[in-house]
Amino acid sequence: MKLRYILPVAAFACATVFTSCVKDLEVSNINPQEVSDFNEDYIFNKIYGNLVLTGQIGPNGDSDLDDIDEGTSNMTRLIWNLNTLTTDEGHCWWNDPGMPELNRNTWTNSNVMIKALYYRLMFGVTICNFYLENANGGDAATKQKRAEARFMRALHYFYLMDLYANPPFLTKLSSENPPQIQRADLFKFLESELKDIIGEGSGDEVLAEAKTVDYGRADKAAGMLLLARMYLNAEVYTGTARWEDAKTYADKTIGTAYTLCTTPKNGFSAYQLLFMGDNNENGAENEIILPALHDGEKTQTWGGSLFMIAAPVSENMKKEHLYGNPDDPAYAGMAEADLPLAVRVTGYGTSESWDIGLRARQQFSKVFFGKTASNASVGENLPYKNTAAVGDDRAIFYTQGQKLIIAKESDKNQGLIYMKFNNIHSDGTAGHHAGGQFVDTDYPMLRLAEAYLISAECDARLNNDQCTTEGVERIKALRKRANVKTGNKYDGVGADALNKVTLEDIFQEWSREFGFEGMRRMVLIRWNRFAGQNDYKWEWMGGAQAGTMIDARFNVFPIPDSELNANPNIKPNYK
Amino acid sequence: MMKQLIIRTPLRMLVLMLGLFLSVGAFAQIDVKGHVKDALGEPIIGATIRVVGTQTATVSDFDGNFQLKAEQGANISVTYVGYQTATVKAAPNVVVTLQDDAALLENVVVIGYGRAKKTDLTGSVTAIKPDDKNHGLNINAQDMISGKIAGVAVTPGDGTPGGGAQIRIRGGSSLNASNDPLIVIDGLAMDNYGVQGLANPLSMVNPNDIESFTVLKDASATAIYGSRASNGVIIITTKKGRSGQKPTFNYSGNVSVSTKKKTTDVLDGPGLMNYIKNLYGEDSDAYRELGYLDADGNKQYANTDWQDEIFQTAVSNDHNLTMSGGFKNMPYRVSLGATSQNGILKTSNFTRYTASFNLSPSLLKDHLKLNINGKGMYAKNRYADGVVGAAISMDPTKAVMGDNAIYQDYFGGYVQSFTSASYEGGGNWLYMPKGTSNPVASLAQVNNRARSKSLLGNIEVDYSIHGFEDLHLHANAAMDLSTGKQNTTRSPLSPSAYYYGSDGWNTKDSYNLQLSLYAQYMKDFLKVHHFDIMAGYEWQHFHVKTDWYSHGTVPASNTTNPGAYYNEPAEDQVTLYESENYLVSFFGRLNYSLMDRYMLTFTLRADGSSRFNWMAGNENQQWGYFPSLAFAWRMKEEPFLKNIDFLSDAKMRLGWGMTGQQEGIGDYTYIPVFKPNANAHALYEVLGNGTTYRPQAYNPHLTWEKTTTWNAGIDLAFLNNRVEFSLDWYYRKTTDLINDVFVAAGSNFRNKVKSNIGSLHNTGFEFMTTVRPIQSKDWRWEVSYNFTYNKNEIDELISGEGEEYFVETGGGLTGTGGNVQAHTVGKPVSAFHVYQQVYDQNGNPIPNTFVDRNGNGYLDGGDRYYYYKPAADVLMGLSSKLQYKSWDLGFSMRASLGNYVFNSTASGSSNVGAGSVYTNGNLSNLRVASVDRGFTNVSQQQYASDYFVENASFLKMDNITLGYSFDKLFDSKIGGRIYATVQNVFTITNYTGIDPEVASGVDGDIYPRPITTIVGVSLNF
Repeated sequence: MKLRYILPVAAFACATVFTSCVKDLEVSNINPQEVSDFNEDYIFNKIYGNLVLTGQIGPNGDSDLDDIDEGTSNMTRLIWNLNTLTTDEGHCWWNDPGMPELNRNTWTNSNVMIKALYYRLMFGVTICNFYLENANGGDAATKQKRAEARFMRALHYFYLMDLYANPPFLTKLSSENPPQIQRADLFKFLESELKDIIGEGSGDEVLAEAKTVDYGRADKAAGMLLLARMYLNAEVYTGTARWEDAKTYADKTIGTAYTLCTTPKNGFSAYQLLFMGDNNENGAENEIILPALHDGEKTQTWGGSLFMIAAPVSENMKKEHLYGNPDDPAYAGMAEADLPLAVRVTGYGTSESWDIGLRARQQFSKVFFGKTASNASVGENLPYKNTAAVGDDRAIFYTQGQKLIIAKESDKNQGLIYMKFNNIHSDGTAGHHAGGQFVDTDYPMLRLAEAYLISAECDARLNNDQCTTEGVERIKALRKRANVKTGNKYDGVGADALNKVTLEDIFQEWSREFGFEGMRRMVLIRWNRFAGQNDYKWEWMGGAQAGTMIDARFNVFPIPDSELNANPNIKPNYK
Repeated sequence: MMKQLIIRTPLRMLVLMLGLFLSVGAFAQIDVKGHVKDALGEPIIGATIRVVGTQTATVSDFDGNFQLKAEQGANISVTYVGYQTATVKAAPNVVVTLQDDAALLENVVVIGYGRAKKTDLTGSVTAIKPDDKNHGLNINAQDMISGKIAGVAVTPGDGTPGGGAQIRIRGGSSLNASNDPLIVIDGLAMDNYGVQGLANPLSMVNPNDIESFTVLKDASATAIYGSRASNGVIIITTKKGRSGQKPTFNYSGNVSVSTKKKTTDVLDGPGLMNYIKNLYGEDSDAYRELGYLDADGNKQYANTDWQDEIFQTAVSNDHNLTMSGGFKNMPYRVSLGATSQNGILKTSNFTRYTASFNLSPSLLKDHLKLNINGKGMYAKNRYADGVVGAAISMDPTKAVMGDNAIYQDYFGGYVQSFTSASYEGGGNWLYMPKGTSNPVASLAQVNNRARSKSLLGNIEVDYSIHGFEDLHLHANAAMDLSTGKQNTTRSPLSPSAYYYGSDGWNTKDSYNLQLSLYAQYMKDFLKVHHFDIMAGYEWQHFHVKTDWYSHGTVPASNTTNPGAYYNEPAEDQVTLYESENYLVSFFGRLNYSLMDRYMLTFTLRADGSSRFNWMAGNENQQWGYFPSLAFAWRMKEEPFLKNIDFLSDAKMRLGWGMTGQQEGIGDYTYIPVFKPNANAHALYEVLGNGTTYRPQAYNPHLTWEKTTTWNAGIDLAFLNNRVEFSLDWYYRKTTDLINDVFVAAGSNFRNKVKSNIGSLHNTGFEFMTTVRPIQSKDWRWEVSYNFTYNKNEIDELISGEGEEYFVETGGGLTGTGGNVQAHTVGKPVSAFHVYQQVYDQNGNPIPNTFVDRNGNGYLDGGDRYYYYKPAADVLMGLSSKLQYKSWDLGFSMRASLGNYVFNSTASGSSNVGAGSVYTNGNLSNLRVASVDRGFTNVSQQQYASDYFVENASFLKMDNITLGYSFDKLFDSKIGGRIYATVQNVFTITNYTGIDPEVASGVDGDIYPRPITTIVGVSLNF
């Protein structure tokens, strides 16, 4: 009897309840820290941001990448490490995982830094692909932004080609395992892609004319200079040299609205201005074609320019007058406030100091101090004294207590300190970060001086390793800007008197102009002075103090074991 | 709306039923004389004898005798605390033998959505009642089952007071998703979100309130819990009062003293000085770094044993008070508990207060049974983090405190290594600490504390329908509310937040609501067919919310912004995090038994989880179906065994079933979303204000992990249950394993993505035996032994080619991102993935030299190989309890064989060369073992050498207890017991680290487990 009542009631209850409960399963994300709506501009910012930012909390706390220390995973920091520590330029004595192996050219495919840069670059490629798939407005502004996204993708792929030779390749989002591309094929893709977006192809997605978009965004000059850099190294990538093409695009870059920064300010040399906290507005912005933007408040990272500034210095340098001597008789009787800023200022513009982690190798120091420089005879102590003593504004060395030769890798007093970057604002204003740690100094990814050197190098290579007048003028322009004095320590030739430049001179000039800017490995490989040769050595090359030959396979970085493991399409890039 | 409807419906029906109640007529009365005794024939004094359905009742006298009037043939119930209620028919002379509760538990066990007679079980189910005499400190519920159950490995956490443990049932079924068993407390399945300040959900329950544990091991038992049951299920029921019982009180309490057992051998002051002198010379920065300054600024060299400085002898105490009884037919139980556990690391403490009540009235002539539980918990923690490692690496030539002005003015009097500094507007702040922080200062200057509250409650209604008593309707509405807040305050003088200090908190609030409804129908046909059919529905909602805040403070002495907050989260930074998930389930069970000999169980659960995709294009991924089938044969009931007296019981069991796993995968892994920059320091200003969005990695195809289990078991009992055996063999295969794996670069928005990557299997056998060699009036001796063998192997990991594919896991290497374990096909889970060390003729390792296993002529990642694994092959537990009259002596031991540990602390500290001892201006003390080994130049590979993988098999004496029970304390009515216990008595092992018991297999510097002496008392009145 009772069942008669119970069953219908229960059935009704069940039907109502179960339907609504099953609907409960269709949840949406209620996490207030995430959003569902696509925003074209914010993704666009992330594309560029990948040069500097490491995650969605500044300076760290929500990394873009897994299994890698977030501060280390900064793109420019890693590019710098892989291109500098492995060469005759720089040495780092920290025991960070993977660091000693870079210093000694003994890395393996499980090296965390090599792994980190690989994933950082591929992350950038993926974001670019995502943007290009979703930003489809047909208006001119969107087309230009699409051209920039394609440029940024090309820049990421350029580094993958240069460092890892045969990376995975995809230009559309896909959850499939991407195929591997061969280095020469990637070169072809990048060549046509870059030509297209600088307006030399058939597409209508074209970069803005030089210096007509906001600082920080890529324009045609960026496309041209990257193309020139690729052609310059074409023989390495494809087996066929392209010196003519490299020169053409270098000269085109020089022909744009960008100009070398040649005007000193408040006692800082024109060259120094390129690497200072206000290099977005002190005149350097006319030379920096593509900056990696930093801002002590808004764009914080433990890598990038902060790494360049803090890693070579020590705490006591904060109190030093590095850029001028207030006790110089020339300033006698002047009020403190009337002194040039460079003379008044102490330190280098951040409270961070990482205990002389980075030091110059003797081969690099000698490019400035001359081949005969020895442990006993190296330089003066402070940067302004060294630039004067060497006779070159680029000799920004700090040598107090430092020895020329690194006899013992772990001794931070061995190896000179090269402190190219600082966070001082040349107009005397304060850094943006209230806490005084994070820096505003933009890191130059591409700057015009490179076009000058490419042009000169190709000029020499096309003319029996000796520059024509045109090439000499290019070098002269750089040396003039650097105030190279007659009697300078390396060749004695003052900037104005320069009339002969050999290919070997250009090899040195690359170091002087672009030292500690993450370019050296490319130069050495182009000259066949890196792996697989026995003629050119530097200290701790291959792990021996005197330097020892390293196997030719080290001319490319290995594709990480984790990738070989996850993507069966990818084969090791050397046997 | 939904929730109200559900609760209302059964209540309405019940009200309706009230009207149908009929009274019973009366019969003629007789005099009943009786005697109440226990199983050993001792008279039971004070037992309550009641004529069922009347107000007539009496109490047995000093000799166990009673007398009352009752109708001829009426039921007379006899109850006494600690014993099962017995019911007899009224007769002129009755003798009642009461079985104690242990026997009750042995006969009826709690299973998923119901109870079952133990003899009817078809699955592998172990039920235990906590042994109240033979145990160590019971701070958490898991402490009560450690080493007691075959197939259940409880690895205690570190020595942190109130710390948790890792529980693994049959080796775990998953790689990385979750291997924690499902915990069900009074019918409520607990969530996996965790509670701030609590080690795990088991911490919410006072162990003294626990009536029983039931561990469901094989799929035929667990499949009724469907998608959460792959790692086994632990069902906890809490104690209840007894109907008609007069109020009784129990107090139990103990005081314990803990001390450290073993510390790491490091160089002493002169030893380190000598070492530095030899390594760097006396004229070196490293040598100058040694020592500390006295008041006059002169160098002094102390010889401090930092590990002595941070540890203490800790005194703790624990008190519990319980009142239970039955107010008419309303049994009740109320308990209060207070625990204060001090850690052997100075300042660390865990304090917990619990209160619980239970009401379990039986109404409508036992047709309507209610069970109402409420448990509240308030806990306070004070943590002492990170000082163990600091005490090992702190320079022993420094004193703890110093009079020098620098120490006094800048570090609160503690000696620290320091360097010059300058702070914006900081005026006279001229120094800052560097290197290893003085661990004693860290203890004093960092206050990291948590407060947690939780409320667990449920109302259970069981109604057997009037006139149709074979059908029960059962409803359980349960909830768990938890809230926890952790505050961390660091002094501006503390190296961990120097100058600005810091103050911050983080919170976690969660709730978990559950409604279960089921109907159960039991019927016998033709005397030999027994049917038990159950069908039900369950709805569960889990929600979690976290938030945090922290800031530094600019010192008041600053010239700029004195007192201002520093490094706060930006104003627009979203710190709140919320997440939720739903589980909707339908389930059913069919039990059929024939002649009490052949038993068949079929169960099926359909689980719908919001953690899987339901969106267009990927629908229907949220439902999973989990069936099971089991068969049991009670051989003892067969004619050919029935009359064999020495065999008390014999049963064979066979089972098969599928279960699932959905924990540890996140609530929204399949939903594509963007992550905006969380604060205003991750902008990149090329467009607008520079806001950046990162597309988040997602996996639209993510699906359940599924485990298929085969089980075969046999249960035997001999000599009137004096000897019991249980043997089980199992094979468990898990497919669609969920793991965070490296994916092909470019194929998702992250280098690692949660994916279903393969399958693994566990196989093993378990053996449990209980032997009662002596059972006399004065002597009782019971020995329990269990043995577990388990082996697991990964069968496939999905990828293109497979053979050399592996998934790194476990961490353990110096620096970040280094993993020393990996999963690969054909090897056990989390096998060590290391380089093969080369040794010299004397058997000493040659640094940085490894076997080129892939033969390519140079060292690379391909030279790593798989070498042992952290899980034990064999686990054993042995406990013994001997009673002589009022005395009892018990002990529990555990052994683990074939478990290996990567000695990460030895690896990480192995570099004793010039490049490592003094780096970045910081000086480290050295382990004696590292110095003896003498590696002076250590490559990345050396840290991952198989040299550091050690056999960590062990035998541990967990506890030894001596107790004395008494009936009448000083002629009062108070009975009870006093006891003394030593816990963590000794460990026999070859492992060179502090403690071989490392759940993850990677040994870091842990908070060491102490040796503890406990003195306690239990009083009944």
